[in-house]
Amino acid sequence: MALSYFSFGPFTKGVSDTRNTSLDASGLLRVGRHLYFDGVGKLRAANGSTVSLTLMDDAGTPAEVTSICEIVQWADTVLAVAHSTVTDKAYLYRLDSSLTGYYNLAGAFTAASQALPLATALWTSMPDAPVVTIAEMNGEAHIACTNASTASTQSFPTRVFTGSAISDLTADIDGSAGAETIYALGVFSFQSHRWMWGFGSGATAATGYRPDLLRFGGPIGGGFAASGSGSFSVGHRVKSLRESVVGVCVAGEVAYIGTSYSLWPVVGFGFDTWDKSNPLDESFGFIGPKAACAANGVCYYWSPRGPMRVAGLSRPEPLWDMIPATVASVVDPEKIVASFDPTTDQVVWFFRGNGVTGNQLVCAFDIRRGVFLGPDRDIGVVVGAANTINPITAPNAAAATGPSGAPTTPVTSAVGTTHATASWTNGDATAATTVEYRVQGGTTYTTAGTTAVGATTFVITGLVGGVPYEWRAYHLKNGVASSYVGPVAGSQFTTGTTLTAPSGLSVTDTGPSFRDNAFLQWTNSPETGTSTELYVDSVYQGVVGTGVSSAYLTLADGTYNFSIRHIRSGYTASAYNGPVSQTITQLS
Amino acid sequence: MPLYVGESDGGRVIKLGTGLTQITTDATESVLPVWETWDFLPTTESGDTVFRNIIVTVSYSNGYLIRVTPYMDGTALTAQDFSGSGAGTMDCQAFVAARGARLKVKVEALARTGELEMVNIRVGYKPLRLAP
Repeated sequence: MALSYFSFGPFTKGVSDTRNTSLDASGLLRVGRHLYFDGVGKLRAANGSTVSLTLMDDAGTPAEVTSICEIVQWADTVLAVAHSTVTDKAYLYRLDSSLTGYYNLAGAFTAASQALPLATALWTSMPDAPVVTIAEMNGEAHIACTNASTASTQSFPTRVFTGSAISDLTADIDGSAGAETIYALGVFSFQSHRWMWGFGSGATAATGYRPDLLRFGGPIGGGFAASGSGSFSVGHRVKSLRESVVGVCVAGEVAYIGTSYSLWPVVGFGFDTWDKSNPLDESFGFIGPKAACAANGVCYYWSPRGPMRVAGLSRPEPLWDMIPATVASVVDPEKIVASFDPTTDQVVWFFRGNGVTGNQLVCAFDIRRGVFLGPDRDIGVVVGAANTINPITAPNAAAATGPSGAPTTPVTSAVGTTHATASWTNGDATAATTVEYRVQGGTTYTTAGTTAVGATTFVITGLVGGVPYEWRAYHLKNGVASSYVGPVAGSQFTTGTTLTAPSGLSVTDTGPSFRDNAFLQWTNSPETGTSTELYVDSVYQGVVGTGVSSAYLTLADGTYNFSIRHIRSGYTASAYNGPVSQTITQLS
Repeated sequence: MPLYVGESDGGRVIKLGTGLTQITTDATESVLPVWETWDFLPTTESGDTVFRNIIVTVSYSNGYLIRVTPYMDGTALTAQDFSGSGAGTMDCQAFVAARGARLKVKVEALARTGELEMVNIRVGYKPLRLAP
């Protein structure tokens, strides 16, 4: 009877870490790490990461800061806030949009891999790294932190960065005709107004400690109104810690105000119509101040029950059903950091899980396909802040930057009957390289392939034995090609007629089993179209097909010498790999 | 529109989604994808099936090196490695030749030299006995 075949893929349903075993398993992965979807159901391996900049403190000899608290786009540049437990200061950095350097307060740019802070520290005598929010409004940046104030103290005022100076944010919020320093716990922009939440422990009702209170300023950066006319509180329990604002996410037409147990949507058409309305049913609130992000008008957030999403004023939708094991593994969920990665269509939550001490695991949700991918992949570093940064491209930008040079010094090695290894010296290590080959003297090149960025070798395959070939290569970057290197003597070669041998033969005695007891594994040579012959004590046992690199044999008890070789019609067989001696035991 | 992250335990601003290695606390490491299927039970939980082979189809831009590990009734069988050079698509056939009720497959990349796509994982089998 012929074999039946079951197809696990193609994998279009993403990853689920729990399921009813009676449900159809096709298309669904149990574990997926470092993956993303591309195009129509193409499941690809994800790329890695590189260091863009290192933020330094303001010591005489600058040292690396100990924590990065926030990074956001601001005007045509980028603002970052970092903290040092050595200096007990929090610093503000202004970086270019490609993160290749930093600005000083005067606006002068320095291209460097280590960025220095703006001259004035944001906060001093701050022993612990703060959770920071930054809001852009009317050309200014307002910067607040969650440890600004408590019920008894007010320590770290909200700061304003104008592009050339840093100062405290002040406003007459108690109607006394005198401005008070603001100690907001967080800030955001919504419908061309500046907003803040939570207040310090001032002496009047307007400035008293109100972690539940939201206050908004006039349009286009106008001043904050006195208590009552420009503010409202969420929840029903004034000054309740339970109804303190945890975080805010603006998605589409709604500002979602998250407390520890509910979401309060703010909608309207400006100052006169805003209303906190009622909390969204079964919204469960934000688990932490950075646990939410917006993507395409939808708010994705991590609630005390797990990941969720909500759009408009509709009922929030749970996303946790597919990954309960991941949700249960989260440690310190209030420290989760959310962000959207538009290059992979993934909302990613950086979290700390069992056995991992920091936010270096990733729970990724593909928003276009509505599936999870890699609910527990490890990205190698602990994350304190995350954001998408768009590089600035002027409308009439100059041509894209191509490779800075062409590859040089072509060398051909490891020439077999159907393959050869091309190598070169990079003219631009940040470019990929495309290799083309042809029969020597021919008119048409065939593209062998394109390497990853920075690679210096490529194995050309699919050649024919006994034929003289030549290859050439060029760098490719931003769609711009360099000039070619080759064909020159170093890139010319003639394929052989004797196949390159397989390597690494190992034999395992699998012991008594219902069928097989000698398990052979090896590494195929790069030759294409070859089969592999199996020999025991120089006696032919059989042949396995192209690409196969393992086989089972059934043998009587004894010690044998195993060897293998590649064969292909029209070519001379390769040398043997082996003999490898192994004692085999048969079923008793 | 790359995603940047700032370290919580350091001062590095890191760009995600680039290159074949990723930054770690003190060095770099290859980004090695893992695929693991759910169990396939052609003859229910207490039936009997001979699972013959697993065909893992991958597409690659600059070589591949993968390890295929079959799990029979939850127990890992011998892992089998497959490698290739250049660019193309390859059906990697791993032999199972074992008997049991359920089979799942774990595929790991052992090295990264270019782009790698998981096209499909298939299993060849012959049902012997349904559950009583």
